[in-house]
Amino acid sequence: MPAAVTTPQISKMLLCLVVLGLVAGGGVGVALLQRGPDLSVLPEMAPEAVTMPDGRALYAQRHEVTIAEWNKCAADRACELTVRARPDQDPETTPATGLSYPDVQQYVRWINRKTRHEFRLPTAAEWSAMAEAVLPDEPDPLFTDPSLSWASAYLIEGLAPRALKPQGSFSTSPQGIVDLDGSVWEWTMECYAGSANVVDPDRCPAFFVGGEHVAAMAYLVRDPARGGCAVGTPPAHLGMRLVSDAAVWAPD
Amino acid sequence: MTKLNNPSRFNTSRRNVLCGSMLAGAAAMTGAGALSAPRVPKMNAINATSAKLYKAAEQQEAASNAKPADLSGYTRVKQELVAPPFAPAHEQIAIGGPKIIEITMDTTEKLMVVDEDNGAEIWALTYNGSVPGPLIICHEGDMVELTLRNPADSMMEHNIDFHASTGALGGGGLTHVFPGEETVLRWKATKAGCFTYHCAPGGEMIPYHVCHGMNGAIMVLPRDGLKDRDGNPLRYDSIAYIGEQDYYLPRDENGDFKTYETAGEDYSDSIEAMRTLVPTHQVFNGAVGALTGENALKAKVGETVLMVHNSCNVDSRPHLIGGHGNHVWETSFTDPALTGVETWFVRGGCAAAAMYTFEQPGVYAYVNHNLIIGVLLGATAHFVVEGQWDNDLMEQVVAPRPFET
Repeated sequence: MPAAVTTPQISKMLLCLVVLGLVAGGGVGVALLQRGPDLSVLPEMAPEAVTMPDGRALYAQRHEVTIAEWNKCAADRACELTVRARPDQDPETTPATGLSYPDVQQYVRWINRKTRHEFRLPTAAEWSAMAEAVLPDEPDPLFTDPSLSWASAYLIEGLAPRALKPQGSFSTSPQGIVDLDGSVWEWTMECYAGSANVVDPDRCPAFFVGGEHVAAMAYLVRDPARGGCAVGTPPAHLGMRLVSDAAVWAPD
Repeated sequence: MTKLNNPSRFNTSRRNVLCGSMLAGAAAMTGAGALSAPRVPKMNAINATSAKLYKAAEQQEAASNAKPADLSGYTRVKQELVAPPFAPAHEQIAIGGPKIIEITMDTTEKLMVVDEDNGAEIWALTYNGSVPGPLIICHEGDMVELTLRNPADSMMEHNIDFHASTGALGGGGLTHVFPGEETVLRWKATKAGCFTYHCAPGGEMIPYHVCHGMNGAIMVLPRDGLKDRDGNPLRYDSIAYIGEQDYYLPRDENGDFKTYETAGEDYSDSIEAMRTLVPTHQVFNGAVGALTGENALKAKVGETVLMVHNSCNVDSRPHLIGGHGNHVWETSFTDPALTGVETWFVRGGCAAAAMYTFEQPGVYAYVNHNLIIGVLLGATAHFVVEGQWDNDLMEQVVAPRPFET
């Protein structure tokens, strides 16, 4: 299902890109009026960098992007979506959820323009490396027969909690990255297109999302409803966490 | 009907007064503060009529010249009810003579999570604490003797209407119990089939209680068991008891689901939400995901499952993705079963049974094949089936690969 690119989807995506282009263009105009980077929106990074298997250092945002952080982008009209906190939730400490891949790309572009920094989403491998220490062991597949590979990832035990909780409700990694094993799945920049060779991320039908298990998510999905044909337990909520290849210095 | 509408026949009694002012009573129990809240509903004309209907039924009982029931030849047995999706211990073919099956149900009001993902919850009105209420099983010709108890800490009046029964509004007219009361109703199962039962306290309270979970099913088996349309016996290895529940959760001005402190506090908001006829949730067994993942139903290749599907309020069209309904009894067990069905129909206000023998291992999704309801509103269950894959039935000949354009 996620890998199917149909014509209407493409045209919708093109439309989406045009809208993004307009928004980005508008943003450039705003940026030109700014004297320097706006470091007030600089995200708080985890105390320590994560060392990738190839020796690189990767700097990750300590928490997932919160509703309050997200809505600064929306207030700037750089993010189309305004996220609203439920009455029982604090926007300052609740992760922004209900985000599609185009949504999170808008945020990445905005924060980079505001801060003059180069944030991005992690790759699936980077995300897994960040989360390795806090994720549960991968469960044995439900079915081992190759004929049943389509159903083998179905989980009947050890499922992650699904309720949306304030930041800090789940584990903290040794590097100080919080909630990687929580109920919010985080978009990665890594395309999933089955065996097809998709080079252009703007034509990618699905991306991996990182969470208690790695899942492929159609790029337009904001709320991964469970059920229907979807075999396996889909993520509860879709959110985001920024990473950077360079250290990020918060203003004093 | 004119008699029923004749005020001179309407004798006020404690029960009638209470019936017409249930919520006022409930509000009083929550203290004076609650009384000032604008949530006491006006009982409308339908309510008043219903109240008189019950009164008429009771009067008949009081001045009865009906013959006493003939209970000779019946054996008393107790049936221990269990929570869905399971079925109580029972015989598929009746052993011995007719039974009087004693069951007990408590009308429990409890806060239940409808969708863990977004925190949606409801003060559910239940039989024995589950949505749907427990599955009852008997044979045609048996009597069901129900003790219905309303716990003292309840807010509301409850009763029960068995679609399988005959008379007194399905028993609804004889079973009104207020907090702290119990009643006993005995009725004879004369029709074989799956039937819904539900709370029906009168007027607006009827859909209110039904849409807060207060419904379930009874299966009345033929004494000699289920048969195919040619009369050959059919047996099942297990029962999957699935209750489809439409919820209409009130939202605040921002679209968030509202929360309430006590059962019944959502009354006027709920009635308003129900009037739209658009459920916010339509789920199996009380909550999104109640029959998936850790709670998925289990079976093995070669096993036969009887899927008993109760849908008290809304039409449903169950489909077993990757399987079929080998034999489907949409209405009664006396009509011949439909065979080889892809999607069957459960009329709202009805329970139906579908029998299937699994031929392939893997995961099956049992959905309401209005897929908006199945996927977006939550009406999905999963079967996880163990066994040997059969390549004759299906094989992936070529795994997805790029192709030349």
